[in-house]
Amino acid sequence: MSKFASFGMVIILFLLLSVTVLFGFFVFAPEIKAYRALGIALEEKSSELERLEAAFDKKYALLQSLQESEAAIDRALHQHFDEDTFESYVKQFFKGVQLRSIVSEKDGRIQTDLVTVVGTITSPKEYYRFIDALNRFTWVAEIEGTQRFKGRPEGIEASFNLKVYTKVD
Amino acid sequence: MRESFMTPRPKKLLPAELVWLLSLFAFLVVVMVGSALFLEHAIENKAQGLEMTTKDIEALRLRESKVSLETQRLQVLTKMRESISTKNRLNKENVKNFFDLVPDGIVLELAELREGTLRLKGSTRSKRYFNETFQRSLDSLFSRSSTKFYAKKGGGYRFNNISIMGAKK
Repeated sequence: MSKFASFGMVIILFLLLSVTVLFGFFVFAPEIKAYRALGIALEEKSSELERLEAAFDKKYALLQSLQESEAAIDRALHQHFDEDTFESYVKQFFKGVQLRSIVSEKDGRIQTDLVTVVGTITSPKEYYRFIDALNRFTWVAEIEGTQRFKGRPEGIEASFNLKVYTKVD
Repeated sequence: MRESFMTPRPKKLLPAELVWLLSLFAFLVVVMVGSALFLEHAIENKAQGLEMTTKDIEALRLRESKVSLETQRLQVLTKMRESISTKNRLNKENVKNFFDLVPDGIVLELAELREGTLRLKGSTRSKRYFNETFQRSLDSLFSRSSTKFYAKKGGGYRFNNISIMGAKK
């Protein structure tokens, strides 16, 4: 090989090496950098997703237990107030029931009806049984205000106000 | 002029070293382009993965906010149910405790229970019996309890009692 040819070879070798280095510098390096950045971002997002899933599972379990325990009250507050149904329920516990609706108020999506109940019982135990049953009633109801018991020849006349929570009509 | 008897060899277009060098370079180019394409593909995959994970996070956050709202609504119902059933239970206990308190020799005609106040009307065989039995119990439970007696025609006394809780004697 002549000296001229050898010099040519060196030049070509230099050019080829330069192209390789430039390719690596301008194409490979940015791509590897982008790949690594995406890898880190994906890892961060994945761990965030994992953390959120764990938190969500806990919240969902709490919601499920609440849905189970509050099913009755939730159903009750989605029903409209019906005086006839209410009267037939109260009649199971008292004789000669008289009902008188006093106030009906609306608070958002909940309606409260204050109803005066007058009925006769033969012993106080019947009244206790009524209150126990009240907590399992179709509607949400609470005894409000004064409870009055009068001695009558036929038994004890109980009168009290019941506040019933139902859905707004 | 002398003549050579050797057959001239055909001259190579490229020297062997250059062919070897160019082959090596071609191989390098193939490797580099292949790697670049592979990296490009990997980056695309990572970007898709990142996009999907981000979408999953957003969807999970949306579900989480819905679950939180529903949980809050049910927690309000829990408080409401607990407060109402406690109130009902307390009412029952109050009435029960009161009726358990009434001694055998006392006949009640009226018992009116309201928050902090008890109003009673009835009859007793003697003032002394009332004061030694029922009045003592009322005094121990209420901060103020006063009774008025009226003599009955056939003997014994009618009484009118009012007992107040929370007021100073």
